[in-house]
Amino acid sequence: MHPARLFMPVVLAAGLVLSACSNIQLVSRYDETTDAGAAKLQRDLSSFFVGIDAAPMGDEATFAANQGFYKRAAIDVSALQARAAGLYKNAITIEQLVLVRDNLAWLALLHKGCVTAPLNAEQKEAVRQNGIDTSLDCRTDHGATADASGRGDRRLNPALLGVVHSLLDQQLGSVMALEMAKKRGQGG
Amino acid sequence: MAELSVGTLAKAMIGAAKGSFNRDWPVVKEFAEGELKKLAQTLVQIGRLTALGRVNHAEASVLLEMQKNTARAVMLALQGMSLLMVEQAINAALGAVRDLVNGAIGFALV
Repeated sequence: MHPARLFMPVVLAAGLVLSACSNIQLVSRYDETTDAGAAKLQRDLSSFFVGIDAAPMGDEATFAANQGFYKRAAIDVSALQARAAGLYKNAITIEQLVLVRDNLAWLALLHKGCVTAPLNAEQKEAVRQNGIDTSLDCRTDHGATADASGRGDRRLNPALLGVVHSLLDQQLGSVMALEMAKKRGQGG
Repeated sequence: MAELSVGTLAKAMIGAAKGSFNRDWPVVKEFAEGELKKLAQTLVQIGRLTALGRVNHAEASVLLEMQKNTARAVMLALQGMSLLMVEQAINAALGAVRDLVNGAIGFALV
């Protein structure tokens, strides 16, 4: 018998013993900052939708009047992404946060009326690459159908409010649900 | 045009998810069923708003993209929950042999 074959069972047994020598981690640990950040974003979004719903055709419902909200949301989600990226085995939460950012980007485009035809693959890629466009313009490199300037006076179609709010609420809820599962799983 | 029903959509989505998660389904069932029902509700809402002409085709297209992103985020949560159960099972198995291994090698390696 070849000597390498003689040693194979020993090597396998040693591998099994060594693998038993430490706990396995497949998913990141619970992160309070992610949990609290997602909850804050959810509250901010609720406040945004309640404000618009109160007077959907009023001055306070224009994109320009809510530009500050979009800027804050873009900063908050970016900070959460940076935080998540620094945690070991956190790929699932990182991808969830990218999807949250994408949906905020679509919300901004809807608010400015920047999508005037059914979406194509380039627009989806532009949103994925460049994220939320907090400017007052429509820009194709941020997913708009066409470039256009001065869209600050635009308002969200009131019929969209309920659905978009539900989707973002559920999305952020899924980020928090996973954090809670991590906390339970780790006996926290 | 046939009216979409939340019950029919939810049943189809839950059936598909159950098949995909297979043995892990009991672990994620409670969360999954609630979330898939919510997704079915928003899908029906989008269909209804489009059929009534309250949202145009461009807006409907964005809503569907947002719906897909939300569904993916939910599925990722389910995947994470399932992995956490696997992690717990492996670590419980390792924990069960900890004393044996440490005893055999003569020091607390595990």
